[in-house]
Parts: sequence; structure tokens; C-alpha cells
Amino acid sequence: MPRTAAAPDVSPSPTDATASAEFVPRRWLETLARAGGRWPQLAILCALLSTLVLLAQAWAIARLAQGVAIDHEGLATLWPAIAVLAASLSLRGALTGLRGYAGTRASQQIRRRLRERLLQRFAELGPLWVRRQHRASLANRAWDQVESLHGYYADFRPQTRLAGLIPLMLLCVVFPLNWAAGLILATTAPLVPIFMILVGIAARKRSQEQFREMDRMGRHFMDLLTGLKTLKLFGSARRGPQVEAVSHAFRKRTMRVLRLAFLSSTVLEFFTAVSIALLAVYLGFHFLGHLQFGTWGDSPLTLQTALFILVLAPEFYQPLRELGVHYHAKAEAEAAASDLAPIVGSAPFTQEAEAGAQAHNAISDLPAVRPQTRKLHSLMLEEVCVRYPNQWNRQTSTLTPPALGPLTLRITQGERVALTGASGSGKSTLLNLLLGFVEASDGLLYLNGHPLSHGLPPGMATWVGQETVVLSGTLADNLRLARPHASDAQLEAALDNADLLDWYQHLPRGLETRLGEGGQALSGGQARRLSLARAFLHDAPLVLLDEPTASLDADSEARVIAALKRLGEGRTLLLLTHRPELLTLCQRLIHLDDGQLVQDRPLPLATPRGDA
Amino acid sequence: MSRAIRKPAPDTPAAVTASEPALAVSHAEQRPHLRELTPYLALMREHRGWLGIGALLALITLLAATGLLALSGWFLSATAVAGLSVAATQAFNFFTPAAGVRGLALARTAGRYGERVTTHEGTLRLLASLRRRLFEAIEPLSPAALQHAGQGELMTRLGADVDALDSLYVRVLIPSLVAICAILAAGTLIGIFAPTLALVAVIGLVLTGGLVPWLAWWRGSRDAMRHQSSASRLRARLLERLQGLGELVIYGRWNEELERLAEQQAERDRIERAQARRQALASWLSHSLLGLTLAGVALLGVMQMAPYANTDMTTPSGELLDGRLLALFLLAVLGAFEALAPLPLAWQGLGRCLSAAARLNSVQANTPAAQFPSDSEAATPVGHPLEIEQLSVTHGDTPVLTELSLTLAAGEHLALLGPSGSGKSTLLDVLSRFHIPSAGHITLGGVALDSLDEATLRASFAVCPQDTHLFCASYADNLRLAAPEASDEALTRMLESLGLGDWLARQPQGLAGFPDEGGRSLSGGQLRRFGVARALLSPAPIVLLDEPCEGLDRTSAEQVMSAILAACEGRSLIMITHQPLGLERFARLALLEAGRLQEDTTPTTLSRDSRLARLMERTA
Repeated sequence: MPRTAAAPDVSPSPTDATASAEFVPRRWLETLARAGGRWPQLAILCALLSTLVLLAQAWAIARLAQGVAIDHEGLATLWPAIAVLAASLSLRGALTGLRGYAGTRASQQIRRRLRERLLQRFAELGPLWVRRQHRASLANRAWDQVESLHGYYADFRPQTRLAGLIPLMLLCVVFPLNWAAGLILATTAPLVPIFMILVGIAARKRSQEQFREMDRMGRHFMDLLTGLKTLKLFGSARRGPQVEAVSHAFRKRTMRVLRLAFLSSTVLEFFTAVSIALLAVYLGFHFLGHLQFGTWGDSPLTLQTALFILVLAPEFYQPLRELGVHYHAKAEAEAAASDLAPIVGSAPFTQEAEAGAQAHNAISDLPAVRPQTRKLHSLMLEEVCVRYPNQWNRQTSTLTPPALGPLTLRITQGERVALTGASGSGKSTLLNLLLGFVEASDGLLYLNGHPLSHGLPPGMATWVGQETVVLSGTLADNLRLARPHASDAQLEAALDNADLLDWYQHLPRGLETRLGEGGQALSGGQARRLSLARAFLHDAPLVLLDEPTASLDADSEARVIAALKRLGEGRTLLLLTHRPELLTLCQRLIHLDDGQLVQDRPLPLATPRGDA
Repeated sequence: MSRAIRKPAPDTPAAVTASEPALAVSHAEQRPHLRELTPYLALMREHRGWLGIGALLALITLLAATGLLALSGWFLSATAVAGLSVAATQAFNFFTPAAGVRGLALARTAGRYGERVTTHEGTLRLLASLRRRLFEAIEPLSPAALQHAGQGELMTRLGADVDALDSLYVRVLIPSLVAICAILAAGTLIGIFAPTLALVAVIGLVLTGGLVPWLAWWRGSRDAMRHQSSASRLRARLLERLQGLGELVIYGRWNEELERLAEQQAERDRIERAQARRQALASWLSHSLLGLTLAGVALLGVMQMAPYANTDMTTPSGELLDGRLLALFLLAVLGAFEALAPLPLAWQGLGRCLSAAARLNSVQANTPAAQFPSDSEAATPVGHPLEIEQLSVTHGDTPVLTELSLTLAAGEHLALLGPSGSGKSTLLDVLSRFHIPSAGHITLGGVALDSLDEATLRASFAVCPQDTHLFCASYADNLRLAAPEASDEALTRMLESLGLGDWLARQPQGLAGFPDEGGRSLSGGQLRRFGVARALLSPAPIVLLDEPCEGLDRTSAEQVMSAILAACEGRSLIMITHQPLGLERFARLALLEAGRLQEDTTPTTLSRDSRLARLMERTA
């Protein structure tokens, strides 16, 4: 099918981001975090408070051991410590829970904002851009990739702050108690990031490879599943063993990666264990009198202090370990970021970006111009140029010529104009320009003599493309898309005009018939006529048609052409086509080549053919 | 496998218009039974070696970590007590505990590494068998049946479901196993010294590790499933509306659509928040239970260690427990809790595993396509005349083909015309035995089509369906699927004859190049021609082509037509088309309309006023 690959690739970000030298995913993710409101701070606060409560918990355990082992105290004096122990754990549980909840809220807000922005951008980039994207990849971006940011904002990002703050907090507590113990923690702590960086450098590349391998294995499986029909047709089914063999090959490669990647968590594990062992040995030997340094002044080290420090030791490394657990969230988020940033721009939530979106919304939100004022006397283009941004020719290092123009053209009321030209000649760009999906970089558009800033106002133009969209919903829903308050009678009239009345009258549930997935199936021709019915309902003075009979059989084509004739009555028609049958509808032919108007001539009036 | 799941969900909100593939809806609101997991648990047995070692190492790591803390706690208490008197200091054997501490530190480190490596190794091995099993279960299903289930989305979901089962082993089963062992280990350690304390500790830990995850699963699984089904509904709706973006923007309805999506997402977000709240509650509950357990152990410990400590130190009644052990007890319980902490989250996610398992089970339970006779019973066709007699096919209740009769002598070329939806493609599906006819019979070379074994059937037909699937393999391998022996020259020649020579010349790696995902490196028309090339390369005596010229301009279409006819010389050919182009070069023409064969004639005897003639004239 001749897809409108006409316009060159619209680099999705016209103004910013990708053009700037280097894209740093982390920085982009950071600018998005703003949308989380106060929730991220709350998450961090909860974790910090939880660390404070941990001190109480450690104190209670140490106090109990001291009381029982050294001071031989009984319940009468020790019960407060028991109560503190129970209460502190309960409180930590609550704080941990609240932290998780706050993280989810933060991530939810960010995801929602980003998704809204992304969908607005899709609309700004226009249907032709959307159509050029792979069908699944758009939904994948707007849904899955945005979702994949969850772990980053809910867990990883707060954890990066905590991995620095919590060890510092604990160090501040331990040092005044015993400088030697503080030193043990303080000296191993900086080693941790150093080792992690060392291991990480090797592991990062490997872990990216691992993601790729996982992905590839999944894809191979999917590939065989989706291609099952082809495999069977060529008698090469029974691929079960192959599936397993490929999975094993991937397993071997993945494990090579993982064996190294796990080293980084092992480094942490090692330091946690070693510092506990070092602390225990140091403190024990101190009690036995073998190591006499470490205390401040003359106050002797008590069991309570020693145990207090020991209980804190594993918590000192815990934040770093958790960071490691969430590392994959970071990798996932960064992958999504480099995919999404080119669409929404480098700073999607800045006032500027949102103002732009609002301006765009304001335009499409304008109440459709009322029918009686929707008059098209003339449409004029004066020296109009459309240049796609970032359209840089790598070979010649020059800006490629504009996709359209400079073009001067005048269309008057009631004209039926055919627009022809090879792929890439600028036909679709012209349509996009009129619909406001691209802006003219030079020149002006005039409607009835008034200059236009942003394509035609809503309600002025209807568009019938090569593919008809049938939304899941009732027939009435699908028709009212074009005119929300149309009466049933108006809907039926439109169906009649579009030659769908026969079909409609045979539907048992009439306008309430469900269409789309799981509903009444439409043939290609019926679907096309449905979009013509919408065009009748919309009743715009200008009708833009893009190969409206593409991929229809001859019979359907004839019916669509007949309906188009009715649609053309009293309206202005601009028709992109190559089909000779459609040219018979038109009075004037405009031929574009390389964005330039090369031919503009009247067409002989159609002589109706025998049977059509 | 549970049939009950097939019942439509009673409370699917009516307002939600974007429907999703039937399979997903049927599982939306009902809690699948744990039984769904049985086949996957059985699969674990094959890999019990790796998984067992993994679980064992996980346990060793946990014990080492717990032991390290507990021993350190005891060591400190013991040295602190010993340090009170000079004699005790000198008598104190610090070598054994200090060595123990160091040993446990190393065991913990090594154990963690070994555990991670072995559990992943085991899981990946398991996933390999799982993929194979699933694939072998799906393979015999009719592609038509699979496609009816929702095509691409179903495929994507299948992949996601296999991945979801991944978490069953790594995140649910192994941690649960380790948690049980950890509780037992902590109980034993304490029990050596103080059985009553051990009892309190074990009961407390079992409550923490059993009750809370169970609550999380019981209360959370419904939400987990609703969350998933709501997400996939939203995704499906998004996909559909994005396709309609043009219309929606032009008719000024896009913002309204965004609001609608936002409303639906708010519903999804609400479920997500409920899950997060439940998670927070589980965290609070399990920590509180742990706090109570610790308090209980401490309380009993204090009572047994110093019953009269403050009144009369000289007359303790009964046997006193060594006070130095309290730190060990408390730290052992805390250590065991580390194994329990991740359970509530894991069990909340079990709902996802379960619905994935249920879906996979129900896909596997689908009716397989046509059965093929075994090699010994299979008939051998003589020559390749094809006879179709009184063939009727229905999709559900709608008739697609009605009493169609058609014969094709060996080497004959037939063009099958007809408007879209007239059942032409179904005919090819029936010949490929992807679709079972409701009546009539087909013979090939004098024997019934369904008495051929699969290899003979596939070797008899070269089929090019409307959609061409390119595998993630080189272009050459994709072509050699049809003709494993074909030389590179033969492949290149075939591509050139179909007008793909320019395209091939532009490929940096030529035939050895790889298509990108979904074959998007070829345009629609090129992809179609690539599929035709693949079918024509096959040496099969009967060639079936479905709309080979669709989407091609006239010149390319004529070139493709010539290539087809040249390649089919001496072979039978059925070509489906709705463009009456180059038909005069066919020996026979047939018109299919509304499932019935309306005309079957030759171009020379075509009567001037027949529908076929008019069809041809219109595009001539």
C-alpha cells in the first residue's frame, strides 16, 4: 500500500533536546521528578525517621543484654526496654510502609503527568507522524515505557539519597561512642563505592548485554510464535527443541554476564560481613583488655555501647545494598528515557513546554465554528515553505531543500482539485499544513483573505484518509465522533449519503450496533464509507481526501466514488490521488514535484462511464 | 483445568468500551485456583538439582548472616562478662568464637554469591524447559484459532506470562522455602539453650512469616488481577485511539479522549494505591508481630535469667539461664526475620503468577488443529490434481464458503477473483488444513487431503499468505525456509525477478543481512514480494498465492505477475486477487462471491456481459 512516506522523517522534537550535544538520561529523569510533588521528600523523610527509630531499637537490645548479662537486673527495671523494643519495631514497620506508599504516589504522579504530556505531543506531531510510527511502538511508549519508570521513582531515586544520608547519620552516632568502631565503618565505607565502581564499570556493560540477551531470548520465542503459520506452511514446525536450545545458549551467555554482575553485590556483602566481624573481634578484644584504644577519655566501654554499635553495623551497609537491588530499575528507566525524551523534549514539565501544549489545546478546544459562519470563499497560499526541523543531510552537510514550497496557490469556493505527485513531492505536507499539523516556515496562508497562523480553524476541514478508524463502541458513537449532538435522523441521513443505508437497515440493533473489536465486522469498503458518513456529518466546507479508495476492490471503489460525488456538492474538495477513476471527480489538477508546483491545469469534465 | 474461568466477568464496567482479547477478559475478576500452578511445579522437579543447591546456598547464607550477628552478640556479652574479672579474662578462649565470626563472615559472602549464581542458573534452565513445553503445546494449535484470540496482543501477553512465571520460582518459591528453614534454624539455635523461648520465637516467626504473606495474597490477589486487567484494557484502548488520532484531532475530540483515558487511568491508579496501602499495612503488621515476638523472647529471657535479680541475688530459685545468651536470642530472631521480610510483597505478586499460569493453561487447552495420520497410515497421492467437492466452511455460525466445487488439473493456472470478504483466503486456510471444513471433501492426487501426513501435505503446497512474517534470521535463511538447498544465486535471481534487485543492492550485507523487528526494513509492498519469493522458491507442485500484487503500482505488479507465471510453469497455481490485472494470461478464471463460486471459465470463453468481464474491463 502506498503509505504516506511522503514527508521526510519528522524529527519529533522540533525545538530542543536531541539537538543539544549530548543526552544524559539521568538528567532528563531528574527534571521529571518535579512532578512527584512532596511525595519523594516524604519517602526520604520516612526512611530517615526509620533510621532514628532503629537507634531506639538498637538501644533496647543493648540495654537488655547489659541489664541481664552484666548488671543482673530484673523485669522491674528492664520492662521499659522491652516496651521500646516492641514499639520501635512496630513504628519502623509503619515508617517503612509509609515510605513505600509515598514512593508509589510519587511515581504515579510522575507517570501520569508524563503520559498526559506524551499523548498531547502525539497530537501536536499529528496523525501522519503517528501513522509512520510502528503501531505497537507507540502504545509501547505511551504505556509500557512510562510504566517502566515506576521502579526508578518509587525506589531507586529515593534510595540514591538514602545511600549517602543513612551511613552518614549512623557514623555521627557511632563516632562519639567509640572512635575505633567509627573508624572501622568509616574506612570500609568509602571502599564500598570504589569497589562498586570498579566492579560496576565491568558489570554495567555486561548488564546492558544481559538485558539485551534477555530481550533477545524473549523475542526469539515471540518470533517463532508469531511466525508459527509460516513455519507450518513450509513444513518446518516442531521447533520445540530449538526453542530450548536457543534458551540454553542464551542462558550460557546470560550467566557469563551475571557471574560478573553479582560480584558487585558480593562486594557489599563482603564489606557488611567483614565490618561486623571486625567490630565484634575489636570490641571483644577490647573487653578482654587486648586492645585498649578506641574510647574517648577514661569512660570504659560497656556491653551496652558495644552491642548498640554491633546492631547498627549491618544497617550501615543496608541502604547501599538496597540500591544494588534497584539497580535494574535505573537501567530500565534510562532506556525508556532515551526513547521518550526525543518526543516530549528535554524538559517536558517546564512552564514553557506546558504553555505550548496549552496553546495547542486552546486551539483544538475552540468551539467548532458555527456552521453558518463556516464559509470558505477562498483559500490562498502565498510563497509558503515548509521545512522539517533537523532535516540535515549528512552526506552534503547542508540543509535539505524545504519539503514544500515556496508554493503559491489559490483555491476558490466549490472547486474540486486533484493533487498529484510522486512520493515525497510534498502532497502530504500540504495536507498537514492545512490541517495545522505542521507550521509554515515562510509565507502565509489566507482564508477568505484573512491570514491564518495555525492551519485552518477547526470545523473548516474534514479529512478522509487511506485507513478508516473504527473505534470500539456503538455505530452511533462512531458517527457522533464528527458531530457530538447530531440527532438520530441526521445520523441516518449521513448513512444514506454514504451509501450505507442498506447495510444499516439490516442491522438488528441499528445505531446501537457495536463496532470494533468483538463487535460487528466491517469490510474495508464499508469502513471507508463510514468515514465518509462522518465527513457528511461534520459538514465542513473543505474536504481533504488522501487516496480514499486505496486498497478497495472495484465494487467498493465505485460506491465510494459515488458517495464522494455527493459529498463534493457545495463543498470544496482537495483530493490526493493517482487513480484515474478519482480524477474524473475533479475539475482542476495540481501536480507537485519536489515540493514545487509544476502543473496546474483544468481537467475535462468527467464523462460518466457506462456502469459505475 | 478450570473451566469456570471461561465465564464472562459479571461486573465488567459497561462504560469501558475498549474491549480486549477474550482470553484476558475471562480471567479478569476471578481468583484463579492455586491448582493452576501444578504443571509448573512439576516442571521444577526436572531441575531440582540446581534449584535445590540454590535454595541450600540461600539458606547457608542466611544462617551465616544470622549466626554472624548472633555469635557476635554472644561474643561481646561473653567477653564483657569475662572482662569483669582478671582470671576469667585469662581463661577466656577467644580463638574459637573469633574464628567462628571470621568463618561466618566468609561463609556469608561466598554463600550469597553462590546462591545468586545457582538460583539464576536453575531458573534459566527451568525457563528453557518451560518455553519448550509451552511452544510444543501451542505448536499443534491452528494458527487461525490463535489469531482469533486477539493476534499480536495475545502473543505479547504470552511472552509476558512466561516471564511472569519466572518470578514464581525466584521470588515466591525459593524465598518461602528459605523462610521456613530460617524459622526452623532460629528455633533450633534458641531451643538448644531454652526450649520455651524457642517455642515463643517460632510461633511468633510463623505468624509473621505465614499470616502476613497469606493476608497479602488473600486480600491482594484480586487487586493484582484487577490491576493487570485494567492496565491491559487501558493499553488496548490507547492503541486503538492512537490509530484514530487523525480523526479525533480533526473532529476536535482528542482532548476529550485524553480526559476519558485519564479517568480510566485514575481507576487503575486507585487500584495501584490500594495495593501500595496494603503493602504498607503488611509491612507494619509484620514488623509489629516481630516486635511482639522479640518482646516475648526478651520478657521470658529476662524472667528466666534473673528471676530475683533485684531482690535477693544469693537465692535464685531453680535453674538460671545464662544471661550472656539474651543478645544471641534476640539477634537470631532478627536475623531470621530478614528471610521473612520480602514474603508479603512476593505473595501479593502471586496473583499475577497465577493468572499468567491460568492463561497459559487455557491456551494449551485449546483445541488443536487438524490431526494428521501417522506415517504408516498416511496415503500417498498420485500426481497433483486437486479436487474440491461441495466444500462448506463456517466461522462460528457465519457461513464463509458454501458448497464450493472446483477442480484443478496438475499444471493448471487459476485466478480466483472476488470482493474482499468473499472467502478466498479461507479457501487457502482449508487447503493448508488450518481450518476444518464443515462439509465436503478435498482430494489431492486421488486421495483425501486429510489422509496425508503433515510432511506430504506441506511438501505439496507452496503458500504465500497475505501477511508475510520475517523471522529474526538473515534474509537468506528466511528464504531458505522454503528451499533449504537453494544457492545464493538462485535466491538473488528470484528476488531480482520480483523487482527486489534494487532493494537487495542497497542492503549493506546483502542476503546475509538481518531484517529489523517485524521486517520494517522492507516497505509493505517489498515485504509482500519477499513472501512471494519465498513461496515461489519452494519446489512444491501446487502454488497458492493470496493477493501477491496488493499495494504495488502497475509496473511492479506486472513484473511480479510475469515472475509468478514464469516460476509456476509446469506447476499448478491458484492466485487470489481482487485486481483484474494480467488475467488473460491465466488458463482459468473463477469468481467467488459471498462464499459461492459464481463463475468458472477461461479467458477465451469469457462472455462479454459476465461479471468477470465487467470487472476486467473496469481496470483495463
